[in-house]
Amino acid sequence: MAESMPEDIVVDILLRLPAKSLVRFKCVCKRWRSLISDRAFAKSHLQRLKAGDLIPSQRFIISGCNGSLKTVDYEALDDGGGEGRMVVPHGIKPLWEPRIVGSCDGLVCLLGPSNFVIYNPTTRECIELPGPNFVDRVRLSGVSGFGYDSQSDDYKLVADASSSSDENWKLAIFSLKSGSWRSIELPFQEEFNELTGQGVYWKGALHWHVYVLCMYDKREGVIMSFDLLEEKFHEVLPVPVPEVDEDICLLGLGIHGANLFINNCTHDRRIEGWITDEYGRGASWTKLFSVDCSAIINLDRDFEQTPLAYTSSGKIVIWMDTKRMIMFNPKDNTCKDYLLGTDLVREYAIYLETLVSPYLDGGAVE
Amino acid sequence: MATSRKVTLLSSDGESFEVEQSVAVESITIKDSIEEGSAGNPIPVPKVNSKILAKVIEYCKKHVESAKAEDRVDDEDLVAWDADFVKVDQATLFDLIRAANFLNIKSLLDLTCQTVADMIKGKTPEEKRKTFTIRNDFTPEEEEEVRRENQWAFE
Repeated sequence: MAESMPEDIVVDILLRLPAKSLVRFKCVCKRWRSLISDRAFAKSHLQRLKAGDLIPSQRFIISGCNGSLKTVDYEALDDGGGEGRMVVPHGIKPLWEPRIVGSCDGLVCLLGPSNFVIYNPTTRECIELPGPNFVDRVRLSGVSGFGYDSQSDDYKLVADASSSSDENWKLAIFSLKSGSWRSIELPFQEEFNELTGQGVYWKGALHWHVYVLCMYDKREGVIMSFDLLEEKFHEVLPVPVPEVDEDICLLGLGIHGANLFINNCTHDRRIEGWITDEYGRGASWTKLFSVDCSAIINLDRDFEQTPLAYTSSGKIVIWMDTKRMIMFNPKDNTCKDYLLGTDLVREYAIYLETLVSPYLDGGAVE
Repeated sequence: MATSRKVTLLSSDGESFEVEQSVAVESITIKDSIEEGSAGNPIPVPKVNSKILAKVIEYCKKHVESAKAEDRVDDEDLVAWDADFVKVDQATLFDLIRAANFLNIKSLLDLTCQTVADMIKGKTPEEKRKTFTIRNDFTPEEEEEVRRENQWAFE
């Protein structure tokens, strides 16, 4: 019956399934196992994913101070699916207090005590990268980021490699394809003082929110990018709201589906989220939500409440403090609390569930 | 193009179906053979029996009619109609897939493949083997190994 189904139809059907299901279906038979493990299949699967709605495949990964990494499936929580389905990934035990560097196409880049690691939380494949041999260690407080360069079909990791004695700014770049590091030097720009932390990967570049000096000694918020193809910094986007009189404070960048996401809080304790799909001075932002946080109790005033995601049903996932997140429903101002575990959560990243393998240089994939 | 022109399709089990040409050419395969002038009359459709051919024709008719209608509201109705259309037993669904593939009717292929994908999404490997009547060709040791590697995916 079904064995006479042409191979390309079987592939067509499999390509429509979420990555999580496909990992399970490797057990069905040898033909399916080799199909699903195939590099080209993973690539086609990713392309299909990107052509559709990304939100159902988005998760976020959180790292706690005891080295635990967890995936939070907030859409599943949204469906009222009982207790939070938080999964603790295994297989990366050597990491202690992993720092999350960034994520792209379902691959998450982590920094362990001695090395960078590229990990796919969906397939649980993990590789440790060799360290760069031209610096003692990369500056952890500096910029970092992980993303995809479509022209060279390569995943790149960017880290700050400058020391105080350097005149120019030095960045270390690792190419997954070649498995090696190299460094580039950039003539110093004023804005580099402001750049810090993980860049958000979007549309072929890493993005940060910074302040730049403009006319009359005023400071303006802009979004800067590091283009992974050209390996240069650009000022690419204005911010959605000007920060006027410290009433509005821009908090952070993120990803929502296929869009760049930025959030801010206001003087009267509102949290707002915006998305954009465009680049350039004329780019416009669309307001996704604006919620009144005074409705939320137990606000830890020392912690910046960060909205992480906006679910399909219009609820907002807010990271409240190191131990919990809430799902806030703006329609009736109710929240549901979710404990993030006993580890104090320090960092997070949004990622996609994909089959992309970190072993791009032809390393072992079962 | 004279949409009132009719063609006759002949199923693999010898039944004839007279349809408007505009409906028949939803199938790229049929469209190509008409344009090349290689289609006979009636046009034989091997591999597709009368039961399935009737369903395929029903699908194409509905979609051609909807394309003519101007109401945007019809989009939702069409989606609902499609959903009902694929509420058939598994064997029929697979036959529809094969027919859509052979006749090269992209939208029907999309619809039926998506239906199967949605059906198997949440199933266990054992259930999937049953659905597709796949022979489990792993030895017990191999299967044990594969399961163990992916055990966490089942939690």
